[in-house]
Amino acid sequence: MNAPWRIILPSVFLAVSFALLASFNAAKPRILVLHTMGPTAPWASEVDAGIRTELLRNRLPVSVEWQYMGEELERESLQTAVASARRAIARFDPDVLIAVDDEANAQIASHFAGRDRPRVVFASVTEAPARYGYQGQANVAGIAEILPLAAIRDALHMAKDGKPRRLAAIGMDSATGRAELAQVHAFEWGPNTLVAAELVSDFDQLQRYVQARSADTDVLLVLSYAGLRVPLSESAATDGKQIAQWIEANSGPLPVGLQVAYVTDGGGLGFAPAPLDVGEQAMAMAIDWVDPSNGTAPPAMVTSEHFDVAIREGKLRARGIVLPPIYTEAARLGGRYFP
Amino acid sequence: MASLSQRKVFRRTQVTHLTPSVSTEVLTRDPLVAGFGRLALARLVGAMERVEWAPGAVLCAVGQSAEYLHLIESGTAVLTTPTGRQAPLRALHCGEEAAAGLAHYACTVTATSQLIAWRLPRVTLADVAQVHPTLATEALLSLASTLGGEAVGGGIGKGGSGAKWSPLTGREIGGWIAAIVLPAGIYFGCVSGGFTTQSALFAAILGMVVVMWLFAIVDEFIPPIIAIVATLFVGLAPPTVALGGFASPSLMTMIGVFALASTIASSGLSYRVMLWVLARLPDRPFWQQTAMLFGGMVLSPIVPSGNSRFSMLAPLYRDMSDGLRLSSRSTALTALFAATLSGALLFSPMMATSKPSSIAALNLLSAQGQQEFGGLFWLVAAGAALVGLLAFHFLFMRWLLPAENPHRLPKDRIRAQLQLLGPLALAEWLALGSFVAFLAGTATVGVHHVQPSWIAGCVLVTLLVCGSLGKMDFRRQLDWSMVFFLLGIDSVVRIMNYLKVDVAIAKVVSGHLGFIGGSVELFVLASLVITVVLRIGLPVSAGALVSAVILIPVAIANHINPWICIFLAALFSDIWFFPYQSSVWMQAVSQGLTGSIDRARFTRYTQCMNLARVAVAFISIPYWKWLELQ
Repeated sequence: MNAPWRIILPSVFLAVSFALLASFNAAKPRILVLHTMGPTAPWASEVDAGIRTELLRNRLPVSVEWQYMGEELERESLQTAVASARRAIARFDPDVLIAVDDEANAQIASHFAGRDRPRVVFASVTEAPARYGYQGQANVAGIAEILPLAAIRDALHMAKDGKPRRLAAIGMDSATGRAELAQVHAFEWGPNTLVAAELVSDFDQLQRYVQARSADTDVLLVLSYAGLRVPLSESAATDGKQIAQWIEANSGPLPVGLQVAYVTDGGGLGFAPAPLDVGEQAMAMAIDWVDPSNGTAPPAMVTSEHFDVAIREGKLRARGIVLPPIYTEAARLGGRYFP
Repeated sequence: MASLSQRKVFRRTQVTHLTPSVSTEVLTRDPLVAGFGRLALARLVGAMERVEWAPGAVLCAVGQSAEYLHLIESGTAVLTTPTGRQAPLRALHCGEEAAAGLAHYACTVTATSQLIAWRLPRVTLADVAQVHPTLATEALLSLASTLGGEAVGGGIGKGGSGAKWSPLTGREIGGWIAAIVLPAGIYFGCVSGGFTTQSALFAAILGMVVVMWLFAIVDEFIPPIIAIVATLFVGLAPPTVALGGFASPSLMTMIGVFALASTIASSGLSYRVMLWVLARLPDRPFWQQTAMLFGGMVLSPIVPSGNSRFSMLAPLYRDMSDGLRLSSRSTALTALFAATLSGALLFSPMMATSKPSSIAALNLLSAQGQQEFGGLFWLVAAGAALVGLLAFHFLFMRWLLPAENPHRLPKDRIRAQLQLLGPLALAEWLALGSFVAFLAGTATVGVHHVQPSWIAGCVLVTLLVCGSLGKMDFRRQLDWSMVFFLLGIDSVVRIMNYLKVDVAIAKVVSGHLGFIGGSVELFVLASLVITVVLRIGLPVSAGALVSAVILIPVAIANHINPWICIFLAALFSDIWFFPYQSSVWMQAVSQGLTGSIDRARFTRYTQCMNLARVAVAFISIPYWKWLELQ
């Protein structure tokens, strides 16, 4: 064999190897995670933590990218954020799109329902999936979010003297807020009573509402408020800490947050869907779907009924609220217990 | 120094610098630089300056700083020696002193007609000499030829001027074709066989690695690197896993131990100690052979490579065989060679740091297993095998190679050598101190609770800070390819664990090794067969590691201590039947040390020692039970 073969054979080996590896890489499943919020928002970052936990468990080679609408929503406009997300989808051409929260599903993912590609896994959706046209679509699966309202009802029963309570709810006027409010309205609160519920578009309206509820309400349910704007300052969203701390300081009724961030921001008590669990379930669903050994049938739609408890002991003590130790321990285990 | 008149002549010289219009012809026709690679020629062209000299002008003057080599394009010149002898310049160049690295010109060159030349600055020549180290020698030979009037020397290759391609052997062709075809075949075969995508892909990568080792188409450290790169390329495992071997304590152990070994050899300590021992031992063949055997054994804890140990022993072997005037193919010479080779090899499975694969295999043990066997307990657990092997060695030496030698060891010469070496130099003290500190530190882990890896790290730091191991030594004397090879394999094993391929292998292997049924004796047999079969195709370290990877799950399933598995893999991987299976033997062959021994007798000794390795494994079983390892 002539000397040039010493360079030809290794070159063929390298060319074939690189070609095979590159084609495998190009063909390996791609998953795009689309968040409504920004990467630093507590909910989004905890969903991501769940996604990463599932990725650590996963052994199937997949390419995963993230797209956050939140930053552009805050800086620019919904239109810009949506356009940017669509460009990301067109560029990455994912096999599966994991759309987290109602806005991402309403604005982006719902447009792909019924199409061949990409497949959609919705997560953390408070609205009914049918609202986005997902029902019966072969390319859609996901996790509907159920607010832990039953857990709140049970906790109120144990925390107070067991007497029926008057409840009110307040949240931000957004797709998520509207969906949450719908669940609050639909829930059977008996023997308690839901006396009022409202979505507001700015912090002033929220303050007025909270102050107005001092007389006729025992418990104030605090729905999503991330991104709530302050009048006269349209470009900047109000700090979540400012809202939570103001509510905690000025609310006559006991405020109970329905988002993980509420107690972290300074609230006293919160019951919220478990974002880690949502993230893990969504990614597990996406990986199962793209795993060739599982076939192409879509996973079943599920609801996430796990919830987190968050407690700030000092605030509850100041209001004379004593919860059974099981709640305190649950909060401690989940890393959501604050003295 | 140049005389005053010469300086005046030089000052009167008219030099005309012309606009650069480089012709490479002047480079390609000059024998001094014509054979250089294209890169070197390109660098020379970049620095060339065209100059024109009038008749009578001096190109170079005796004593003048040798700044330029002149390549003559046209014109004639005369060369004047310091004594005044004149000779026409026949070479196509002058001023070779600049290329040879001399400070000043040794003779004067004067143009005798209109002369056009291209001058090359010595700085550029020095740079090019880094790639072509023979330039200085060639320049000196050229100068000598010019001065002597006849061609001197020659035949020096232009080192590094480019790879010379030798024809591919049939084995290599087969290997490359298998490396191209087999991985794809394995992948599609596995996928159609119902394996997961990731398992199929990893099996293909592993197949490529094994093929490359089996056919030896590249150096053995390259396939694991290819496997790691391929794994990361397709995202089969995250970098923390795929590069995990390089973040393990083994890295520190290897670098520290290799650095210590390098310093002990380069400082001359090992040579001095062997001379000292020989000068004091009784002058009988048994003691001379024993000195070589134990010399290699003493080196083993800090010189993991058998080849390195043999490199250290080989000069002494040559000195002894010459000094004793051992005749070619005599039993005495063969016995001395066998003792030297055994000194390099026999102790290798006896400590974690005595064999490269053992350092890497230590990571396969659990954390507490690593703590237990990382220090001297490995030696304790291998004690029965060590004593057994030594006993068998002495028995077979007496039986097969009963050496008698009428000549005496030239002890006067040895003493003279020792006298010449003088007292211990600082580098030797440092090497000795580091060696003692490493051994003492490893032996007293139970007291200070510092892992042997970190002790090796301290040794490394000491050698670096004290300057015993300089920057260039660190780059050149450490066996980086071995470090990458072993840590690469460690990483490949981690990828296997991550993808749970080890579980699949264990399931398959356990299915075929079900007959073991918890019996250590049967496990020893299984280890022997698997290791010896693997070693037919794989080099020592790869064979031992792959064998350990396959057998550890079997050992665990049979409630056998995994260390026993690693030890057996290390012990049996030293068994060799064919020359290519022993890198130390091949090294001896390449150094021309095997031509003078009695091959038949040596082969008998080797085969007997192969059997001895099997025997000591069985002898160790009751000892392990006594140690409650079993």
